[in-house]
Amino acid sequence: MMPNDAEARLIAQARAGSARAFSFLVDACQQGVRGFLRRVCGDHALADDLAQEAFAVAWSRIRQFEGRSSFRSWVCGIGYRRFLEDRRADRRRRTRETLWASEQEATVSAPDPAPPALRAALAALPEEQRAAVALCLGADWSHAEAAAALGLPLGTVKSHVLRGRERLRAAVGAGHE
Amino acid sequence: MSDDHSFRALWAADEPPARDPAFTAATMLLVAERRGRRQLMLGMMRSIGLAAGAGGAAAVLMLSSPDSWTLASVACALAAAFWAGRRLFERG
Repeated sequence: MMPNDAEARLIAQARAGSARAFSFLVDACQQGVRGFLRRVCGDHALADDLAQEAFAVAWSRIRQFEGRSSFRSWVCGIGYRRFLEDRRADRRRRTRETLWASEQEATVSAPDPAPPALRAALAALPEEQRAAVALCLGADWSHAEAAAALGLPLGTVKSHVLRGRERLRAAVGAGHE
Repeated sequence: MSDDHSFRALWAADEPPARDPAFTAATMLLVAERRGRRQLMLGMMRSIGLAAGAGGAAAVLMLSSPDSWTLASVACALAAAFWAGRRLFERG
């Protein structure tokens, strides 16, 4: 992660229209944003598309960034909301077409290399819980930072992480036995 | 807490690299494309607004006193609006 003052300087330059400063921000934050989205959606190609989209939106709204959270968590929040929108649109589309079973296979382009039991357990978690687990357990974010990124109350994030951890522990334990 | 470490280790395989110039370059291309499109839209909106304003002013002038001087000034205003709109569109 980049030091706060360096990040603040780059954000100020990006606000003034410097695409070069913004590219440094992308470079510094891409690992965190992509890693989070990969764990949340379980599809690397889709996660990378969402991450690119999130950075493009961040560029267009850089003047609205108030600096209350880190740049990384702000972009993660944008990516997460985009993921939820995509999921809702996808569900509506599937309901219309009623071909969801065959499509499910077609849309998963690159399977998550994490162990199958862990992947399945993570995929089975509710969306908010999965996102909180992906940030706090998968990327070692603080609860406060995850709460800021996901737009959830701190207590909700803590309970999501606790419950999610229990469910993952049970799934991975069962997988190993 | 040791569980957390083991989850992290299991997920380490899908962690992207700390530096990925290809991803950054592709993202900046997308950003540039969006920025270009936005500027084009802004330029078009400005020129449409300018042309509509000039047209409205011309219509008011013509209705109030349709003499030759007014017609000439209206023609000049329209030509200036058209030129400004084109410049804006090209810059966008």
